[in-house]
Amino acid sequence: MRVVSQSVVPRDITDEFTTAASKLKTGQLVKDEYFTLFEAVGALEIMDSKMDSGYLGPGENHAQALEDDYDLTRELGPEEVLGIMDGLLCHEMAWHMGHPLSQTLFTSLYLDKLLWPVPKSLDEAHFFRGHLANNNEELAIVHLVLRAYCLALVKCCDFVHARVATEYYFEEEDFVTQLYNRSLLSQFEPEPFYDLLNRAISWVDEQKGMLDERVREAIWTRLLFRREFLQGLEQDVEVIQTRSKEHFLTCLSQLDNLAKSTSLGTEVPDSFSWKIQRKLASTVPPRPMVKINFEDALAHLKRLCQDAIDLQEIIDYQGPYNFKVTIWTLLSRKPQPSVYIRSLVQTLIVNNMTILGAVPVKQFLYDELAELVLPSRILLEANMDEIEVPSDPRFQIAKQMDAFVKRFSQPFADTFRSACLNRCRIRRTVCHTIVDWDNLQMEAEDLDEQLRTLSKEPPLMLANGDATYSYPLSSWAYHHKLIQFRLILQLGFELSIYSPEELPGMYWYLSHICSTHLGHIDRIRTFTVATAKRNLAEMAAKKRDALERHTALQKSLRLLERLTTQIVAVDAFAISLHALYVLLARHGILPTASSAQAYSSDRLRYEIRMKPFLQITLPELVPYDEYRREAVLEGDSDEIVLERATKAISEARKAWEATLANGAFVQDSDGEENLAPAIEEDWKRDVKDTMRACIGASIAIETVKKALKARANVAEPKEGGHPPSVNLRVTIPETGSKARWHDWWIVPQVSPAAVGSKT
Amino acid sequence: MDENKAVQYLDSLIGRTLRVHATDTRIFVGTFKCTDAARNIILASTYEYRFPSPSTVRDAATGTNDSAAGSAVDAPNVKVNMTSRFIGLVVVPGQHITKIELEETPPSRVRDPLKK
Amino acid sequence: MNPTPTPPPDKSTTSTPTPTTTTSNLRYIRYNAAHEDAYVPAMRQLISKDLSEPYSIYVYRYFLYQWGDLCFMAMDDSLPSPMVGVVVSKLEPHRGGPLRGYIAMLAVREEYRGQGIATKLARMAIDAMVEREADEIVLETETTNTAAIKLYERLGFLRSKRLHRYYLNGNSAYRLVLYVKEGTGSMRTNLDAYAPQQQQQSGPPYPVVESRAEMSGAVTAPEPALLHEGNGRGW
Repeated sequence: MRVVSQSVVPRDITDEFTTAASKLKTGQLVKDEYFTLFEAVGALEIMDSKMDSGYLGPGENHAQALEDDYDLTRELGPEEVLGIMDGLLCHEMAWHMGHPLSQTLFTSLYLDKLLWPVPKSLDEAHFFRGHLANNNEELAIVHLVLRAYCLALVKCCDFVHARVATEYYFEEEDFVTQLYNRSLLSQFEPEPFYDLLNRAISWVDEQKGMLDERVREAIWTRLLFRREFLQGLEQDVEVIQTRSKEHFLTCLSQLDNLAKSTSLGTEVPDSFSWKIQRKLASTVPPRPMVKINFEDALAHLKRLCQDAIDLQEIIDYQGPYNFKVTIWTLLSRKPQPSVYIRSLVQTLIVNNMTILGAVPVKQFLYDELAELVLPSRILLEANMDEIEVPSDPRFQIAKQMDAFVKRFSQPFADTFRSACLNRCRIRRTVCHTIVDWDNLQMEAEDLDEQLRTLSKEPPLMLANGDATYSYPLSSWAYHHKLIQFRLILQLGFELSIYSPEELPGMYWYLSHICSTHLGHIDRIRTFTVATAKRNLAEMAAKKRDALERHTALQKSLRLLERLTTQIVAVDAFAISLHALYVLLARHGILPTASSAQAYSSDRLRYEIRMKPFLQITLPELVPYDEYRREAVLEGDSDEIVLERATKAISEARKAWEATLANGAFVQDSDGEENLAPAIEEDWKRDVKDTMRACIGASIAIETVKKALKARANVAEPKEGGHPPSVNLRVTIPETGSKARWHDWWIVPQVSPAAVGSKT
Repeated sequence: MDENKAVQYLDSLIGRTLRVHATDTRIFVGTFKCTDAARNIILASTYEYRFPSPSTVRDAATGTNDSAAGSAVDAPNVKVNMTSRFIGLVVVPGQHITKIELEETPPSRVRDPLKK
Repeated sequence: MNPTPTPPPDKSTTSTPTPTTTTSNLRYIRYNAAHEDAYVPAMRQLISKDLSEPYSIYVYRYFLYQWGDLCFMAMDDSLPSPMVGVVVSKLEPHRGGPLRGYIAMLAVREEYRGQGIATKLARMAIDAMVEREADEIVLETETTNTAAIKLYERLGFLRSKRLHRYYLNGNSAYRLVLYVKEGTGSMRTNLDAYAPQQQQQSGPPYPVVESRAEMSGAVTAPEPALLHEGNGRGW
């Protein structure tokens, strides 16, 4: 056995290396054969100030490259402690917003001292580390108060970091989990942090009359806030059991006080240094310290607390439909809930194959099927454990259904989880999952066929004499796929993906998907009703089940009706906008992004837009020629198109009214109290914004109508002459602008052009 | 050294651990991946070593002496005395290089316990 | 990438900035590897000026060594340092599917903006890619860079997706796409273009080439090395 010494010896090869390199030709590389130029692209260039985090600029004192002259043991006035606390809060929120710790909290020299070298005990985490302990009573405001605040703040970050980092579905672009070889005190239990805070709070209490009262109160408030915030964050997923809103409510109630008293503080800018990036293990270029102002930090914090409170409204399970409404509504709030909240919601949605910590995924999936397609009960009731004879068809059914659950629970739960991504990522993820759902639908079809034989489902005779079957599982899968189609298009509008000249085509396509979906829901309804009729005959025998079955049937029919109303509303609005845009395009007043000398063509642009759907087998792809004819409403006169726009918008308004009246949630017939009032408010606001957009569209349509009429009255085109141009100005309001009533509905602003050719 | 020999020599270093000293006295220790005529050196899995500030030197205890070879500065006690951190994949541009060292394990350091 | 130094293209026609220098003595040339020593430093200087992302010399090498013929430069010989505009591109099969062109960088010196130099350079790159049978051409640009977006949209590019907080500075990007040939959308790739599983980045910590997702598998992954040191866990 040979023991190799740990020592390695460096040999100076500068001369050999330099001589050898000088023999290479310009552009010639000597490299590891497995190391590609593509990889080399990721290398950080040393001595380049933009890439080298260890670079010292000209004039920077080498001796001070890492060290700041700031004395962490120095005395601080209470105003300064206040200033540092608020500075830290800004950095903490900046981190929550997605900036790395190296540019935010880790720039604090106070935190650095506490965290590095990694303390072996909490007692070791002191500002006077490395110096003789000098626990001067006079400096309690630093070594007790500020220290307690700092440690508790780090522990808060630890909880947030743990939640986000353990969630499988989080996004690197939203949140930087990198800790740069530091620890967020995760090794310590939370209890001592509360003790420290409480001791600090008591000390501040005792200072009554000895400190400026307003400053004293301000510090006290911050300590209290920090304690409650820590408790709120510690609660984490246990909120399912505790149902406690108390801590975040207390936080919220303190925010005004924080806002009012921040001006009493004195900033201590020297206690923050970007130089820390020279000490952190980091493979990224250096970046400046992130500065966000206290107002923005508080606004973020306020939303976080409010979202943390409101997310409790998702916890009471009331069936998959309502669950989905709460999830998507909460997470579509503008601005979107923070990454922490989204990660937490994601964990609540599904964890250990259980929904909301209470409902097994199988139950969840069965509830969904019962709500929507109400398959014959034998499918949902067959239970393998109870039937042990493999020859019994019910045994076979149970086997097939178990296979279905196994295959579909994850993708189904993911339709909820995907709401937790950022909006850009949602669209891209759905572009991916829609292909999966196409495959799932085909698999479900196979299962349907086998189950149909096993359950001896009688066919339904069509008018033409053909027999058809219910296909409940694949019908359900198709329904979800169509929802995803719609989402891709609507998020496309929201994210400003489409150029103005594409809007006629994209709104036509949206309406096309809606009418396909409506047809599909009609089909589901037909089978639900047919099955119910058939059951009626059987049920004379078993009265016991009658009421229960009737209730389920009514519930399912109500849901189908509700979906129909909603999709009609979307469809009609899309039809109307399509028609409106056709008119604008026809008369050359729709702005265009591409120039006459563009490399692209309508056909190539169509292909890009259909890319997510090209692989989908059902609904079939609309061929280009049909798409083009429909998009421009070929062959329809202006009058017909106008009529179409007008009729559709009035239908849309009615349908959105009806949608609003139906409310956000499916209620059980006994009309129990609404358990998600805050989320329902958001939902209502969203529908009302859509209705405003409808009104905006009506006005735009009227304006166009008038202009076209005026033009027709004024001038019959002379023989061989051109008709006068339409005297209108069109602008497309940006997402987030005031004139954009709703992200999903791009209503053009149409106004008479200032100077015109009115003759 | 002709071009062939030069390439051969540089090729023999690929995958070895180099210590590249920069004009600002930092030392970069990593796996040699690539170079060119201008002596730009790409190192993978690199650690940056920086001389401690005078105050730290004052505070630090002495007594580091794994005395294999080289001076007190660039010997293995580099890791003891200097502050280091991981920085990953880097290019050290040729014009900023003052010295290149190859880490070697001298055969004399290999002991056979049977000889004891 | 395409961090976008792209100038306000042809802005002179629509708004104020009048070019301080006229185009009369401009010369458009293709990159020539023989002059790497002169061209690359000039390019780096030109691009790094308004660059949001930092690039090492190897970023330039990656493109120029393999696709130098897709790089074009605008030169004003009356200047001591004549390069006033540059476009850097690449062209390769995308995941075994369509032949994809990629405009990596496009920059024009500030005083020369507003004369259509950027558009001209972009066209030269696109034409060269089309000549080499590209199926599609893509790039990314910051959502706030309306000048660049307009330039490319005028050329027929469409936004295909939005990339949230894509750049180191926290800004989002649009992916812009131009199909050159019919049937490009149906060409199959090895991997699903939308696969979210590919998000984990192990390449450079900032976007350099196409989407960050596409960098997976490149470069020594920094994370494991840090984990060896104990990444703040389990102490």
